[in-house]
Amino acid sequence: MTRTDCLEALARLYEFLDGELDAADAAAVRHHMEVCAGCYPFLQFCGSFQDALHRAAKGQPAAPPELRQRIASLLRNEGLKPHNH
Amino acid sequence: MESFHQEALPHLDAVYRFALRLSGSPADAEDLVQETFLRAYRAWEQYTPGTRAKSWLFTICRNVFLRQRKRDRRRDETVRQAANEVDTNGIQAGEIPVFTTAYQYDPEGQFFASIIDDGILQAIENLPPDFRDAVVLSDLEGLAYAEIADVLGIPIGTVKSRLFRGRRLLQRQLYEYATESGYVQVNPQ
Repeated sequence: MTRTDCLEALARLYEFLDGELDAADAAAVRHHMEVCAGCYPFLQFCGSFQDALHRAAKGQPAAPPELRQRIASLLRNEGLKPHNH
Repeated sequence: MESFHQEALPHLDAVYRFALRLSGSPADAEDLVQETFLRAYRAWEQYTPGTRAKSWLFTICRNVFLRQRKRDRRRDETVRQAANEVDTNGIQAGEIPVFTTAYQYDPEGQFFASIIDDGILQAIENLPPDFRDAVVLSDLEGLAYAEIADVLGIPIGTVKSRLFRGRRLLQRQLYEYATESGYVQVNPQ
């Protein structure tokens, strides 16, 4: 394992976790993480971090119901037909 | 126009949260969301079905906001200036993606799981605005880098570096929060 490999993999770690790398680059980062004892924990740490953010995202506030109604009536005036449910 | 119900309206909550962060006040946010959906509806023919309606709505929302700001010029200049100053550099060689103290304490990052949602959301709100916006759009709203670049009007390289540093900063805040709340016990040795 060269130091350059590690630096490269760590610099692209979030891109990897966010699914932003193409298949070849993602495979290179994944391979490095799997075989490098020094880098693997970073993947775990950042993975746990992002899991917590994604969980918290579900607890975000919703729009006030009155706003939803106002927009529905505004759009009805513009010609949008009510949803068939 | 059934597609507007299916593709645009489900994002009302997300657009409201985005507007709230932009404007800083619930009343202004509501006006902004109304205007956003009105414009989106009128321009719906220009939208390509099945593409990402969420980032399209965010972009409209931000444009409406910036145009209003330009009109009353209260905060626009300072916001823009701050955005340019904070982070135009890419990720530097040797920069690491984590807050070292927390990483050394808990390399598996298990303490993140013990922090309540409100603690996490509050820590995100406390980030400097440029970092906060990137983190919110990526980690809370699930936008791709290219979409974030469009919505915020910045290059993709800047999105990457703001996420890289914003997340590290957030880890620091969460670690401090966890320490203060007793989730993390630091032994002074």
